[in-house]
Amino acid sequence: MSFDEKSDPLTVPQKDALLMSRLVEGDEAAFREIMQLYLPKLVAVAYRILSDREEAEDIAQESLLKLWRFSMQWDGSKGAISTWLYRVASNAAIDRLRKKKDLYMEHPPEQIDHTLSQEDALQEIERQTLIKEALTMLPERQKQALSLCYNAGQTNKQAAEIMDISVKALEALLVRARKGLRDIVMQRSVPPERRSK
Amino acid sequence: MNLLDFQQRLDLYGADFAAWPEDQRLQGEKLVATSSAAMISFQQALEIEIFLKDSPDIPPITEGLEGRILHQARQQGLSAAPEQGNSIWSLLGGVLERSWEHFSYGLRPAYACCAMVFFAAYMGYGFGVEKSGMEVTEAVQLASLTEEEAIFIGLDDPLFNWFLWGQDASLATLEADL
Repeated sequence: MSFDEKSDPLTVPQKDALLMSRLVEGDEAAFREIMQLYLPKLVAVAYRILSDREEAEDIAQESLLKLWRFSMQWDGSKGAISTWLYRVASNAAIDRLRKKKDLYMEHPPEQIDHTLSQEDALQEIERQTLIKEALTMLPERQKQALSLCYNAGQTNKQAAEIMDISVKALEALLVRARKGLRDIVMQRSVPPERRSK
Repeated sequence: MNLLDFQQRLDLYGADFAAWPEDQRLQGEKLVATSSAAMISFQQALEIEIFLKDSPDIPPITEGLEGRILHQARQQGLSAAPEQGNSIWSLLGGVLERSWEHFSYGLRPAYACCAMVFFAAYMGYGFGVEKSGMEVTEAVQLASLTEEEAIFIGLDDPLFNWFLWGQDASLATLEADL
């Protein structure tokens, strides 16, 4: 819990209700507040799923504008602003990823020869690139779970609520994601000639 | 705890031992200290954990993105709320901001010029009359205005006077001055 959260006497639902009532009145300052709170995290969540900054920013923008458009119908009992925003953004990112995958199947990009860059690249950058690539190879739901827990800073319970699954199911996704990453990184770290066929 | 158990715990709780249950944490730490295979697994998991937390691959958001979103929101009807009551400045700012959107790109320079001229006239008149403590009649005399001219530019208009001096200014006072 951050310092601000400790010192603020209002609960999250109270703060959300206040912000939304101001938003309904067309209060730009309320919209700015929401944007400052969530924009970077929304971009990060969408980026983790899509690996494309421009598209991630588009999704964050659309999610915030959607919140503004639907502010009149806002029902605080159905969840926090953060839950709603992360759900909209991560689902939109998954939709786009699916469309991209269809496109990818039609026009697969040329394969990059990693053995060439390995000789020159610094080890640290190489490791990071490996993990980044491994992340892009994970199934979309696993990426969504990781992005919500690590990039949006949500607890397992909050992330499960956003994804509309049980906490156990979320934990299972996280386990598979971590294992998947570790396996991919380990496999790629081994020189090609030593990889099991 | 064997290596397989340890790897399963790593996948479940992550590489941050602080997030592990106490009894399993002690066993895990002990295994890392004694087994090189466990140490390698732990280091790999830690690297991944740090990468996920720091996300160095995620670029910072584009400069101007907030402004772009705000612009879109305004086009959809979001308005700037007055921050300190209905002051003349917030009213004027709101009017200018909203009316700006109604002008096409070609007409905006002309609109900006008109707004500046109006602003300059307002400031000049305001400082000349209000700040120096001059009466309206003195200002009118100073500006060599005839009574008809003063009425023509709207000095007897209560709305205009409200804009210039606020709600205290009454038509009766101004009429008396003129």
